[in-house]
Amino acid sequence: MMTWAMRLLALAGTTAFLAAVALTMIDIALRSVGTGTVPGVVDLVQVCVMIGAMLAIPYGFASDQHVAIDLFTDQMPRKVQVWLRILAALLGCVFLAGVFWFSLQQAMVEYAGGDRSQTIGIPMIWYWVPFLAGIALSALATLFVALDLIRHGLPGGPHAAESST
Amino acid sequence: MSSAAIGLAGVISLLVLIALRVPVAIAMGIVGIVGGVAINGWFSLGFVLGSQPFVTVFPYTLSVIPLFVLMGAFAARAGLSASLFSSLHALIGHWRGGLASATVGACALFGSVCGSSLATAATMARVAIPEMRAVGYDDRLTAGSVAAGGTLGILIPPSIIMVIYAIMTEQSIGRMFLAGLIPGCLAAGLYMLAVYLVARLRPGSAPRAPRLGTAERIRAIREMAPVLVLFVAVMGSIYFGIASPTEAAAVGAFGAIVLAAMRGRLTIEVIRESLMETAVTTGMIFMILVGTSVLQFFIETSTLPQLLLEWIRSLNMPPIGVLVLILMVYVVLGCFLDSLSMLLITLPIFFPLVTSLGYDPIWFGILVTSVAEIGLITPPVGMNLFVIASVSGSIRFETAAVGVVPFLMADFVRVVLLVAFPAITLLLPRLLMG
Repeated sequence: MMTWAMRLLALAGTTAFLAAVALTMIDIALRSVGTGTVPGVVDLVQVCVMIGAMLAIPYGFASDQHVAIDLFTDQMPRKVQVWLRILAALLGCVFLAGVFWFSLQQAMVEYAGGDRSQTIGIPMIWYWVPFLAGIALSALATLFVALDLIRHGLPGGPHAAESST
Repeated sequence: MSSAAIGLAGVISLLVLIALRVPVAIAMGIVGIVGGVAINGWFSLGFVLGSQPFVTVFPYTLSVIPLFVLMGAFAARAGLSASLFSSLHALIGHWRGGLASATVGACALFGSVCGSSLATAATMARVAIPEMRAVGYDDRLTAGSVAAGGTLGILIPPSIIMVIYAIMTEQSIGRMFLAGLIPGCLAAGLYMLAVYLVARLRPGSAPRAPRLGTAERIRAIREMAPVLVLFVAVMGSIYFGIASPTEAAAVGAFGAIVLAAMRGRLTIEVIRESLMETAVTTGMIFMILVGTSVLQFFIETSTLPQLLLEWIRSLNMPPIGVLVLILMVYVVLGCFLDSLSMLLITLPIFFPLVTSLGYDPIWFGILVTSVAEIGLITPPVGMNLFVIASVSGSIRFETAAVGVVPFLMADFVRVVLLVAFPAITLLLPRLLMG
């Protein structure tokens, strides 16, 4: 269920990449035929990329697709592998929760100060929101992964069929 | 404990965490936090975790990454690989080892519109392996040529690894791409030479295909046109200053989508698969960048790079000796780490060292990309070998690992040539960009 929700979120986020392509192509076309441009295309593309990239990160955690080396752990007993995966997920949760907490403080400072982007003055909080959302959802995803591993073990293991992630 | 000792302990802890299957990004982040606090105290946490990750993923230059990934994802599903392979088959299939050479050539051309080695290997494997096996090619040569050919995806620009190197070291993406062009072609040429030598030494491993008529060969050249047009549109727009790398990537992504539509491949399923591939790859890269941002602060404040530099100077080793040593470290690390993680972990340490020795950063970037690519075809982590084994269904990992040996030799020859003759790398950027 969680993996499915994160997948949907990642897929929705990628439409922002398509929007970035469309905005850039329109800008190039306008420049080629005259002196017109899409106002603040750089700022807008940055927002699109932030949305697409940050919303994709939680799915990577939920579906175990972030880069990890299993060359050495594959040789270990299954029980050890499960506990190492739980440790990895919890470390991930701690790191991401830390990034979220301190980034939130920084975002609030910039919001209170009314910081804006350079070209068309988009409030900086527009960039912070997808960043914070991606990090928070990633922390949640790693927590779910850890809990699921504790309850059901590794996918493909004796209790794999009961796995809910 | 001195800062440098903490730095060294941090690097060792990082490798241990990675070996224990902690995701690379998380391992970098955790080591960065613990090491950073040990050196700079708790008050540094606010800056390191509150600003660094956001500041690292915010720049506009990073927009180029998802757009090139998007281009590669659609190009891989637009049927371009099959056209390229059949065209090159028609043109050079009658050579000694012609089909394997056609595979390498198709990988090189496909790599020019797809910046990922894994995507190039997976896509070409589906097309080339059944054809080569049907003609009676030896499994080792078949698997070796596709696995090695796949690495051309990151050697021939546009390349995601080159983009990340350029961003991390504040170099021009355009210069990096231009610098990679001749080394990439050299790699393809040396792979073809390796195929020729294998076919000559073991004629049974690569039966010759019949030579096709002129009309069929002209038609084959025409079939390659869309890929060449896309490549020229992307690279040409950067070199002639018409577009920034991000704009060129958007042109490439748009072009790949249009090509997929023109070939009747733009189905809902293809769109969904391409977008998911883009999401997974981009998310993975951005998460590693978040981890790197925290680790980099720790490495810099540990003074480890400066101490390493002083130590190397005290050895009175010639700069070329240091460079060779660094490249050897990359070859060894490449056997266990993926190329992106390896690059991001080592660059904060090696880059200042190499530039302080007076080496050109662009040249070093191409060398690093070349050596990182070798890791894709060396066991035990050689990802392209896994891809071949998985896509073919019946070629074993071990067979593919033996099959890449001639191509690995070609790789080492190439690296030696690139080190000995920097002009191979630097000629084009100096000539065209000053």
